[in-house]
Amino acid sequence: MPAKPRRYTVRSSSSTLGFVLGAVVLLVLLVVPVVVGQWRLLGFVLAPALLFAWTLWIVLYRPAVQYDDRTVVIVNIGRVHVLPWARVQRIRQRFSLEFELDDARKPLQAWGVQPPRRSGNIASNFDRKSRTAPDPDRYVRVLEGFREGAAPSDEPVSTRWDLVPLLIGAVLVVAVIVEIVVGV
Amino acid sequence: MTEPLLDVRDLVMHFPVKSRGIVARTIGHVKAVDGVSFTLQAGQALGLVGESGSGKTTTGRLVTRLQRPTSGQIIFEGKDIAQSSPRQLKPLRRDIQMIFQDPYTSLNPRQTVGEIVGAPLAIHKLVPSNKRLARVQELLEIVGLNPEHYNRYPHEFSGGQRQRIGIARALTLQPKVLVADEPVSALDVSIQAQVINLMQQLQREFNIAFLFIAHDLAIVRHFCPEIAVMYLGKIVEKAPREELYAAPKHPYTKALLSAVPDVEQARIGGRRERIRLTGDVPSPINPPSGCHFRTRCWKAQDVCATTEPLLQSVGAGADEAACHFPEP
Repeated sequence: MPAKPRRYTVRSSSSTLGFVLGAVVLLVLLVVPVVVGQWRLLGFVLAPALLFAWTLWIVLYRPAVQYDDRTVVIVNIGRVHVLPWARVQRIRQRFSLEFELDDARKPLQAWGVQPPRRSGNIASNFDRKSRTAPDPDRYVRVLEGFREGAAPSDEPVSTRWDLVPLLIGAVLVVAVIVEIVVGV
Repeated sequence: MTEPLLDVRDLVMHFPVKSRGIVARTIGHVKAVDGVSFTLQAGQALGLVGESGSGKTTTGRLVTRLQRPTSGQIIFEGKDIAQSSPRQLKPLRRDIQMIFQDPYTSLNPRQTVGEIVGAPLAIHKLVPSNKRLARVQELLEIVGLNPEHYNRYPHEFSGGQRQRIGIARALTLQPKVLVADEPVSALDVSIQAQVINLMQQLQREFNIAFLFIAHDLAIVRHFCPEIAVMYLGKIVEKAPREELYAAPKHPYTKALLSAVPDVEQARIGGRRERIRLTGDVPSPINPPSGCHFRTRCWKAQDVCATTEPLLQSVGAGADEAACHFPEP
């Protein structure tokens, strides 16, 4: 049996950090009413807090590029694009990663991947030799490696709504609206 | 048939490629060695050839266990040492040694030759300290250096002499397997011959098995009765030298050999067909599907992209090649 292909995920690390920090702050704010026993308050803030957490998640953490040796999946806010490598013509790093396809349509943007951080700037203030050379095309080189090595394929590009996360978001929005209406 | 001294099975070494930033994550793996298998009998020499980045040196470093492989087996004298701990490896270090490529950087400039060559003896406590100097001088003599130079520093020696110091260091523990990683590529041609002859003499004298890594095909032909050709982390052809040089079966080997100037052919006025490979070596991060060589191969067909060819016997001889369309 052939080994399962290894799957990798790339997403913006600063956005990931933003999501984690936001989630931690939110958790602390929710724990306070529990500790002081204010269950009514907790019931009131729970739905908006979860909606806020969901917003952070879908904006900061969910957008990503997932890839293995057959396909690359671009997860943007609300939309998921599945591209067989054979359909990808070129990858470029602009503000976000850009995938040019072989059917002359507009290039697909992967919102979740910004250029890698130019590291070593702090160190360079102290010691010029320790400065790491900036490598803004790091992701492109890795992804181009996958694209070039992929087997030919006739599979088409597919695009779909990111259904489950959107449904969860809709439920949370409804819950908040109901709470506001009932509360009023 | 006797059990091989060293049996390498399906050796894999994948180096992770990390993203930079606050949250570093693995965004790929460089497949430096990807399923390499070979055996080595006592006193035998196996040549490992291939272009830069094909995984030769990594294979050598894995065999000596300077690095822990991702997976696979390295069976030395019947025992798998692939995942052994440093403590378990210590006694084995005596048996598998390495000669490094660059004699200018592989010797500690702050140590005398006596300290460099005698260090393994001290670490493994093989010779009492009062007899260590005599043993070091004996080793220096074996490799053709003046035994009285034991208290000199590496910078006082020429490149060839330094490589001899490296060989002496590797011989100190009387290893059964020596991994020679391009041992003469940094030396002048005249010195290369001296060092190669020295290694051949030592091989005969001490019955050492050699894993000889090189990209100079002429030297490998001179030194190794059996040769394995590597491309992008895999062995694509393995054959006795006569068969490999006379009738290479894999297109890559054929292209590689066509790049070697043939003096004999030039003397009689003939000209060997030169095969120019097009394109760059693909990224080892995700080598081409199926046959790794297909993107540069003039014989590639659809099956080469979908099915990975296995290393198997081709023709009547002992030649093994990983190709769907081997040369006749």
